[in-house]
Amino acid sequence: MTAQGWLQIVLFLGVVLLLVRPLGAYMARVFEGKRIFGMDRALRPVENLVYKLGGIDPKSEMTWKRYAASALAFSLAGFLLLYLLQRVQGWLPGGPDGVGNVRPDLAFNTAVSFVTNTNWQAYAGESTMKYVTQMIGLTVQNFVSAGAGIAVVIALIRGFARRTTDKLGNFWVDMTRAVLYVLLPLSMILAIVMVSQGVVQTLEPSQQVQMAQPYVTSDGQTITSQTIAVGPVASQLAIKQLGTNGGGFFNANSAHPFENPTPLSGFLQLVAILLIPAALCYTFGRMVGNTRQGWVVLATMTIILVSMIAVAYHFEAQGVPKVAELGVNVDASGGAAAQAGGNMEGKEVRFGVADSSAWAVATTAASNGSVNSMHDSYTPLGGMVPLVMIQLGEVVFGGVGSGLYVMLVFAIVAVFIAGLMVGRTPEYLGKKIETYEMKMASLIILVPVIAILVGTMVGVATGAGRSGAANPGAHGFSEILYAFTSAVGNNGSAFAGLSANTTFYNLALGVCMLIGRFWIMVPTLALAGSLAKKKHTPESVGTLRTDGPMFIGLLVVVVIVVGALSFLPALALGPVVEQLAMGG
Amino acid sequence: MESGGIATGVRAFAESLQAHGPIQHFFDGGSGYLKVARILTGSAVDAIVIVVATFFFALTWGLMLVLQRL
Repeated sequence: MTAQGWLQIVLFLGVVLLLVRPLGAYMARVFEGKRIFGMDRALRPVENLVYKLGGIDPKSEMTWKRYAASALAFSLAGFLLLYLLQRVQGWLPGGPDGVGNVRPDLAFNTAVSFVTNTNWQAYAGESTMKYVTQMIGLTVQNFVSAGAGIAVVIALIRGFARRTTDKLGNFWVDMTRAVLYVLLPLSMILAIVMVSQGVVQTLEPSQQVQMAQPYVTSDGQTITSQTIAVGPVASQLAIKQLGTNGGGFFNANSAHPFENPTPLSGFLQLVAILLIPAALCYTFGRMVGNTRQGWVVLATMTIILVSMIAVAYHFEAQGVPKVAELGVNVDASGGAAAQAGGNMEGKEVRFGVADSSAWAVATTAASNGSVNSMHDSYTPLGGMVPLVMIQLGEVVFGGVGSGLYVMLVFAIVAVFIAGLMVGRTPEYLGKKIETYEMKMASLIILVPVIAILVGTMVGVATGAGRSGAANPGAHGFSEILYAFTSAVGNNGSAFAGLSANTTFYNLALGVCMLIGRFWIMVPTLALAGSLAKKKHTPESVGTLRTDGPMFIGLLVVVVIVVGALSFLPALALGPVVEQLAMGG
Repeated sequence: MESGGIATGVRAFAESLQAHGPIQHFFDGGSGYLKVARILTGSAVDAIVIVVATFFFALTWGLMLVLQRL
């Protein structure tokens, strides 16, 4: 590890934390329906037009069931439209040329993937999707799936903030405001900055260029020209990071020079991954009337994130013993003759070990899934870190909205455990935590665990599942485990070694993505509905304080222990065995 | 899979689109037969995918009703 590497990581986290308060306060105003200086005049007419066209009464509030039904109906409609678009894209106008309709199983997988904010990509974007699909299909879902996630967390926050009501707000209003006032303006700014850095944004077809140096194939054929894929990349890139979607325009995602051309573009993308999930913590604090509560949640997330970055960076900087045994200098401080240092397989030379490790942890912490290096090529324990980050429940920042709502469920579990210890009825933010809340919290925590482990079991027990893994033994197991973890966690990143574009994986992972999104979202809204109905219980001497360092420690422990108890046996069969076999 | 109410309906809808000149360009490619209709009515896999996905959402709706009673 180098001082320069740590400096990059500290700078990135510093910028994210600096932006938390202004953006969080802005989002609180958006969802409290307050006036927003400068934005109202431009966006209010558009917002009203959306309501008018959709027949929505913005003043009409919903119970949790109506809120959930609206979210489900909206997602089903999005799925059907995106599926249809992929199946007929070959006959639609626009480039690139030679791209046909998407196969039914892949279209199913992709439609589910983008509707659930997962953005798992079993295809290479530049050769499978037409621009029209990328722009009006995938990019639109990037916005609205992120908007739906924000809407649900806002409903849960209202559940904490409101008293003796069964109303949680209006799903259509919350989603419209999330997209119009938060995601669109930020994406426009980021897209323009990305264009300034050299990210392509064009509707021109792929370019044929003469190669600077002809290439002779093994059968003696000389290749002199190359096809360079281009397209409307910047517009998709901005929301892919801000909306924690992660689906790349290109197959190589943010390792591609047209999707991440400069150090500044890489830095800003990394910041964008965590920006909204981090700021939502402050929004939460503002909306429940105690910003310290938001800072506590953010501190919990940050502590776990930094610890995990340190672990990943440590193992990647160490490198692979077998490579060092061959006489390769893997020491970053080895002078001009040395490489970037550590394990550079699968990493872009431009980014090196520190930036790649920070990105790998941030993208899996935030349910983003974009990559600037290939996680499959990490050292076993270095690669275990992204896997663990998803398995912790995507609560360390997590997806836009979805990360915070599951983290708040963990907070409920933490106060419940503390309540058991001291023999009092647990309370969180003045709401008594009773049987119903614990039933919902248990479902929210257990459903993804069961889905990941059962999915992996099916994957390793069937020939169709095993045939996708490129490696035998422990690493092959890790590839399958990672795929199901990523799908259920709605992350979307992959251990690149798995051939996932098969009927088995397209269908199995598609179902897992649906479970991971909606069977968490619905109990969360049920929980919100139950909390909103409760009276506010004033603090007493017996109330566990949830706005101080002790609660941060408790929450960190609960998140880690639940994750460890659920997944340690599976991790032992994969990355841990592999590390031992490597002799590291 | 060519028969059936939905299939016939979709095909009729698609053919009516075809009659409107410019739309044919988008959906057909000039082969004289609307491929949108063919793919929606002629592929059992599409029908299965759509039914399975819709079933999942219906199941989730059912989950909602169960949660309400817990």
